[in-house]
Amino acid sequence: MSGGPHRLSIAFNGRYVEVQCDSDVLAVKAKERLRHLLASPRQRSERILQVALSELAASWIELRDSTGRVACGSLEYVFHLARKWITAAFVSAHPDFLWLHAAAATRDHHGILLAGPAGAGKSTLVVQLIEHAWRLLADDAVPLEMDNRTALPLPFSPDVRTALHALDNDPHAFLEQPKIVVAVSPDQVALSPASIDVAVLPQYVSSRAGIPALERLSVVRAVQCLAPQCVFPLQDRSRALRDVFRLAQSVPCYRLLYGDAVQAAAELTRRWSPESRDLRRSHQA
Amino acid sequence: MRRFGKRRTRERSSVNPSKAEDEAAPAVERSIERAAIPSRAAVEAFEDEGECLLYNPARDQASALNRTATEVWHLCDASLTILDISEILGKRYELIDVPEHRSPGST
Repeated sequence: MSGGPHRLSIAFNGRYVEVQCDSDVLAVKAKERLRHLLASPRQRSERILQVALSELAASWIELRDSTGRVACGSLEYVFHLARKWITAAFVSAHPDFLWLHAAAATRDHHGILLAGPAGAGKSTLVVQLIEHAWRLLADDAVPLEMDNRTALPLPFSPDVRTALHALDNDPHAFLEQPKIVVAVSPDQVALSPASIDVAVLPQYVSSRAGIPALERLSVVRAVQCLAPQCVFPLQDRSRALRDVFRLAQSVPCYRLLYGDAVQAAAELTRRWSPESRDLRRSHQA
Repeated sequence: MRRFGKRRTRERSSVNPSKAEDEAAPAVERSIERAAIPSRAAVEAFEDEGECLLYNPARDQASALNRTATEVWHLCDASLTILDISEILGKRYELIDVPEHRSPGST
């Protein structure tokens, strides 16, 4: 343990969360995960939460916040929890947005939304999309402005599970396995909002080798799938449902059945990258 | 939303019903069911392309209805009986053997 305390400001849409780390090691790890959300003093306006990380012993970290919550655990566990707390603070501070448990990537201001329950492969797919020249817009939680159907950037560094095949044997054990943070360079991160062109609900199917399948969902079916992914601690559910319904009416929604994330990302790019859309348009013309 | 009993088809069957089946579904109960007038509960309905999503804020429950169920839902207008609804749907889809209306208590 040395140095500190280090203070980092994590900003979203004019609000910020202060993260204090009592050691250099913790500060490095925090920056690794939060680097794309770090704010300069100029960007900060209203502090909505304070989070403190303290190294009690080797691999034993204490997490506290300004609301009185305390938790202890491994580095991975407390960072996972800290990210949840930070996200929840932003959600509470912006109840006017529709917040979805999802990931999003963008190319030339056209966005693709990947929504689904834990273990669906949202982060894994978004990382693969980045390999196909998409930019990271958000991971874990996506804030959507419903008036113009745009997603705002909230680019936490994606963390992924490595063993998808473990789903076959024990889904619970799969969800329990620690995640690995994927480093995304700043030029692979979107800094401005993007209009969402398509919503994809990925579903990992171990037996599906080769080309993934995309199935268009009816609006009601899409709402059924998207509604459980709403994050709305302060927002009433009726409003969230109305917003999800509007989203499903205005954006085509697809179920993606895939067994290989690399192929799935290639297929999504083939279908929805701005270039392929332009190409289709020119063919139609 | 009201819940209705299991669908009973034996009452107008030409096949001799067994005693056990008669005991399981008394004629009077069957007639009451058929004469019941279903009405819609206070729910929010979201409709698109013939399908519907209902949300009951009081119970915090959502139900998705397919096209057929949505048609039934529309017919639950607090004036039509279950028998009326089945007759309307039977005629709409040109199904044969549409049951005749029976008054409550008749067998």
